[in-house]
Amino acid sequence: MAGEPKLSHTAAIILQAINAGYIYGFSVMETTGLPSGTVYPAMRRLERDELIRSQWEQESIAEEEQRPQRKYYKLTRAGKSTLEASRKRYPLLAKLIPSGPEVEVESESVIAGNA
Amino acid sequence: MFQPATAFRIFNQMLLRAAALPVPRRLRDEWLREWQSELWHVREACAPAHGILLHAEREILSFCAGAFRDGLCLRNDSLRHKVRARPKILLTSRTSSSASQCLLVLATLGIAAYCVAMLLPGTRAVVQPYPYRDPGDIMLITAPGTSGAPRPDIRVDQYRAWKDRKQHLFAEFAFYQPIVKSVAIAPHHYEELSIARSSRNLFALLGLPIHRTLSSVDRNSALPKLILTEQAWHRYFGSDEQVSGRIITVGLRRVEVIGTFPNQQWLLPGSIDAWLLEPDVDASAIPSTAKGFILGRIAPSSPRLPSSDRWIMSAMTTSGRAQDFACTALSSRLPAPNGIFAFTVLLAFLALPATTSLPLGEYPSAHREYSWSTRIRRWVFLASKLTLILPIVYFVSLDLAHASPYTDPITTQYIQIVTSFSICLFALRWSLRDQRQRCPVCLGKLTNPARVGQFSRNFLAWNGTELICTGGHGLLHVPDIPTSWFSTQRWLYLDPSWEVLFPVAQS
Repeated sequence: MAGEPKLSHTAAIILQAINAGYIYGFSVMETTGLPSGTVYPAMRRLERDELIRSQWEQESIAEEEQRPQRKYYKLTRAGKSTLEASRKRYPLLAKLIPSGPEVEVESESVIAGNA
Repeated sequence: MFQPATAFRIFNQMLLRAAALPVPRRLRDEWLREWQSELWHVREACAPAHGILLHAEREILSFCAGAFRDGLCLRNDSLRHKVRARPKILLTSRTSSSASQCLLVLATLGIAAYCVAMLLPGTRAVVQPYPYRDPGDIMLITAPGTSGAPRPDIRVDQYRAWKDRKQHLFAEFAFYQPIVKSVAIAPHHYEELSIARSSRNLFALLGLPIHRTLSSVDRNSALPKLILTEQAWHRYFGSDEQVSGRIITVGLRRVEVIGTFPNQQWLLPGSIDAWLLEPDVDASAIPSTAKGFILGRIAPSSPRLPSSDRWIMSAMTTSGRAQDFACTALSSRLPAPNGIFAFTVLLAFLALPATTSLPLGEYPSAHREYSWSTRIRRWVFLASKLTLILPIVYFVSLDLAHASPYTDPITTQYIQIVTSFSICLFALRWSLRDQRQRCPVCLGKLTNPARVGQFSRNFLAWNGTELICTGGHGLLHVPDIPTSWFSTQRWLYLDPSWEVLFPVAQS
């Protein structure tokens, strides 16, 4: 698609990681080996460009597991098509980060969406 | 007193809060909440449940460092967005937030210096209170006239004679003799250690706790007890936790190891690797010709004593003649880092006028009257800076003085004097200069220095540097050459008609 943004290799890796099921910042860091100073700013840009969207997990789940709430990221429709285009541009992307754990992100109706 | 792990947690939180400052206010809470949540998970994944692991703390620290980049990226994105929205606006930087950033950086430095102090064994021993019981009532008794370090000059016979005789002045005596002995660390492995061979009651008289003692100690009550310094325990026994209760050979005698004691807290003469406590109070195994030190605890009912920490006592020797002995209170041997610190801070304050001018920038051409709260805020900011600087100077000077465990106490004191004075003087000078370069209204840093005038026209017009407050409160004129008509810096307040140039600052 002509209007799709061209992602850098790092941004494409992060998008692939989120698509593969690594849906919060620290797991993306662990999977990609990228430092926190790269991962989080890149995710914010991806969110600004509406390729991913973020949601806070339900408070009750975090309370049950006695830990702070996490912010989960998920690809948007535009993000999925951009990732497809990036896979053609970077053929080794899927081999670098194969599909990982499938984590279900709760529906938007019960989770406060990110501003 | 903080544990090191707690100090690291607080330090990490402070870093995140510092990194959150550039983040636009509307996004800051959520941004901070996400980073704090992620930090919690990183710590769960990397750090052990109890204690600290330096490798893990380094990883966590590098994770927190990423927050600064994230915060700056968000800020830059936000600024770019504003520029696109209002292209003709003159962008100004933050003003009053730079004052709180300054205080936050100082507070972070102070916490970091404190954390380092808690990690260095030497500094930790100095900062924490010494465990001696009533050090003012414990006297070190030596032969008089010895200058410098006291020498082991008193025979053990003298100790036994005093102990057996009814005393008016002292309630209890203890004896120790520094001596080098061969110690069997393991089969066919011998090391020469400096041993303090002492009477059984030495640690009890000093009120010192022994670490890692076992309940099995009493099983071999007939054997002499060996207490290792922590340094010797690390070096010769490989920090073996099971060393307590082990029977080893010192010289030709079998002794039982009963625990360890921090060598930094041993303040009496002699460089000691271990203490060998004889099984009886008489220390009958010590040859009668052996010479060492006697310690005496002053009886509560003793007659009135000189107020000084050092005095001479005349007593009968074993040969039946009177002899003078020097008595030194243990309290006089306690390190006094607080006294050195107070002295160097006083010296730095006295030396400060020689390095920079003291006025904080009196603005004689100021015609606008500001509220009391604005004026007081400026002084509170200066006082806060000075208050935060003092603990930084204290802990950094102690960290540097005690960085090496092999430095002798006198050298340590000299290092503390020099570093404390230098850092304090530098910090005081910086705080005054920083104060002069801030807007008196919003406390923001003055920026955009511009050269005004020419040296060759000094008699016709002023020349110097002009700085601007990006909050739009005014201009500061600093003359290059003080003259009779322009001797100090002057503040030119801008009236409200200038506010159109500083829309971001005013909004």
